[in-house]
Amino acid sequence: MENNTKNKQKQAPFGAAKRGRATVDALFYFVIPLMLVAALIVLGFWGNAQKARAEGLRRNNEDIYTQAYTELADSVNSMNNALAKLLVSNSNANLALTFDELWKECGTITALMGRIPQSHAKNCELTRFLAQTGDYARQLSASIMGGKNIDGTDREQLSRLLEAGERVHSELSECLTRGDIPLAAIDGEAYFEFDEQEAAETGEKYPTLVYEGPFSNSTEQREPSGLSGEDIDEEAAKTAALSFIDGGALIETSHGLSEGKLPYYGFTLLLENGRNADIAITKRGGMLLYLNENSSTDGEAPSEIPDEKTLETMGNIGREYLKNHNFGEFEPTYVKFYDDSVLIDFVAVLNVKCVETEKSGFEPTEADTAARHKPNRAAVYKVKLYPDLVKIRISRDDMHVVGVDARNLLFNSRQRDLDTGLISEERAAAGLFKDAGASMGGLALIPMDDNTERLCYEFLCSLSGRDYIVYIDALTGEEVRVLRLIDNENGTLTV
Amino acid sequence: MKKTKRTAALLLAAVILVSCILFSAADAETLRRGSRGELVKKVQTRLKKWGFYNGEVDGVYGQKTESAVKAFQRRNGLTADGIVGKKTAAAMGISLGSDTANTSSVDNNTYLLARLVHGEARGEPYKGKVAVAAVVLNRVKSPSFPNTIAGVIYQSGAFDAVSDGQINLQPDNESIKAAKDALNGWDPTNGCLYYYNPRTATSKWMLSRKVLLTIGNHAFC
Repeated sequence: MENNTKNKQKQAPFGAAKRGRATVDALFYFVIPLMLVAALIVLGFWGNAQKARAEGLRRNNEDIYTQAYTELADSVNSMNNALAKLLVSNSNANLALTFDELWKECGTITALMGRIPQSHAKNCELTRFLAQTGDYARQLSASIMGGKNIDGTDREQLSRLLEAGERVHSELSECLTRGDIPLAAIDGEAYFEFDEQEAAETGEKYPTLVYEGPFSNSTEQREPSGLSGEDIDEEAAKTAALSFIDGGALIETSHGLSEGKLPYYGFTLLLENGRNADIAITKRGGMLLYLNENSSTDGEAPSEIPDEKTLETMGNIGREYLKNHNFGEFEPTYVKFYDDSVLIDFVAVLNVKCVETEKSGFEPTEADTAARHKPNRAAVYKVKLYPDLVKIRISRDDMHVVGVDARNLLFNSRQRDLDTGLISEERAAAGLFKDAGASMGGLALIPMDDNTERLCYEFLCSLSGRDYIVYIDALTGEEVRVLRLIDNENGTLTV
Repeated sequence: MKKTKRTAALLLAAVILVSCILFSAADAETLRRGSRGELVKKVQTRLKKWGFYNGEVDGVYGQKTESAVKAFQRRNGLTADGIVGKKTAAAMGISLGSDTANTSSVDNNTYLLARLVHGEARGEPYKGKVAVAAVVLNRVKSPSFPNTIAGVIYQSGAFDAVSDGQINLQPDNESIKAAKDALNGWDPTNGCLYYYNPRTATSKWMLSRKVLLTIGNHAFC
């Protein structure tokens, strides 16, 4: 009896162990392998689906790129056709229309260039060639509309542009025929290596255009004309930097000399209000290039627009700052509200002596008679110099100057001889569209696309509830530019 | 001993699995009953505007807010659980990120520029951020580059932040301010068209260009 019990006691654990091993074996030899196989099958399906998805995306990309290249080739062909027509056309009306067509086509091509999968290193020269061709076409169109004829130099340049354009078209067509462009795009890294070699080899592949326009070489190479005086060293720059701060300040860090079009010494200042400010002082003449006080970005910006009185006070603060720091006489123009400050565009003001004269060939109008225009009237006029612009940022908290940007002034300021004859304000107003309610904004010098400046009468006009500024040439009476003014919660926008 | 090892392995696998699930859920902040704060106020304001909520805009996620959220979810084909997660927030036009900048008054180009600045230069000093935005704008003005901000930013291979997707991160307030400062004319780069990080750049073409100035980790040329 006792033995039996002992045997049972021995058998029970043995049986449990056996069952346990069987379970583990089943798990080890069947369940886990089965799970692994199932996982592999799922993985296979998933991988296949991913591959199909990647293929789909690749094809989609290829299609987009092929479309961009095909449209690019078509547009370059249209550009060439316009250039070819210009070579033979002799009617100014036709020439102006074709130049406009060429300008439009070049705009389309430039946009398409941004969509093709080529790095900048590969296509910068081509983009430049196309942008300059469009810019040149626009300038010539404006010139023809202004009564000028294109000359032999222009025709010779157009001929060289056509030669280069035909080469570009032939290269694009060849690539499209080979069909390898989209594939090359997928392998971005290898493509970039190729680009770098190409860029190094790119020399005079495209003709250099001689003209004046926003994208011309002369505009890019223009040197700042507003710098004057001797070169200064870093110590003198430190003294100059501190002189532009109205409160107390210390030089916290010197960043040394930065090169470029306007070489400057950069410093970080510690102001007496505890904030930091970045300041740049030009190497030549020790002039202020920019000042920017770093304000906190955490605080909530005031949502309401400053009232007229606050803006007037701010205008006076900016005007005083410029006067006290020897910039001269400036007037506030456009205003922009952002974050915790207000940005005001200040333009230099020049007093010029002008004589009102009759413009030859200008037929007297009823407006002239009504205004009892008196010719040969000499007077001193205030002229707003829009190219000589300084941006001043004023804090909305404590109304002090927190930012100055004098880049435009330093680039554009120069001695100007504006003592000239001009037509009367009334005569200029006669050139405005009759339904536009106009009020006089004074005389202004405005920058033109061809890097020239024009003395104009500035008229604030209003039509159907929309506001505009119309500039009428003060010498010839022709309309030079129309700007639309849009007031919104961020300030005044001009387009 | 073997059994202990197997059990440990299974436990480890389970822990990894659960952590993965938790990790993937952690990045999506949610608003639910009991939540408080500015985001709740935003949700209440929108629900009130659309007529789902008639209680106070007090920033407290109570029963009324929950019912309103459920009604909104039902109307928009979402799971009506009364919790504002990623999908519900997106349907309401609200971002749940904690460092979210107020972008309501920022136009498309400023916002795109701010996203690039955030993706390219978020560890840089403020001047360095403005400088990155200024390079984009200098390119827009140059004939050698596309003539729009989007054209320059998305030009093939032009910016790493576009290639690696960091441009799609939500920009912070400082990046938006830097983009605005650059658009308003501040150019600390003195007209530069390129920049690179000398420690990570490999392009020989880029490295061969003359460096005009350095701001933070970026050399500008």
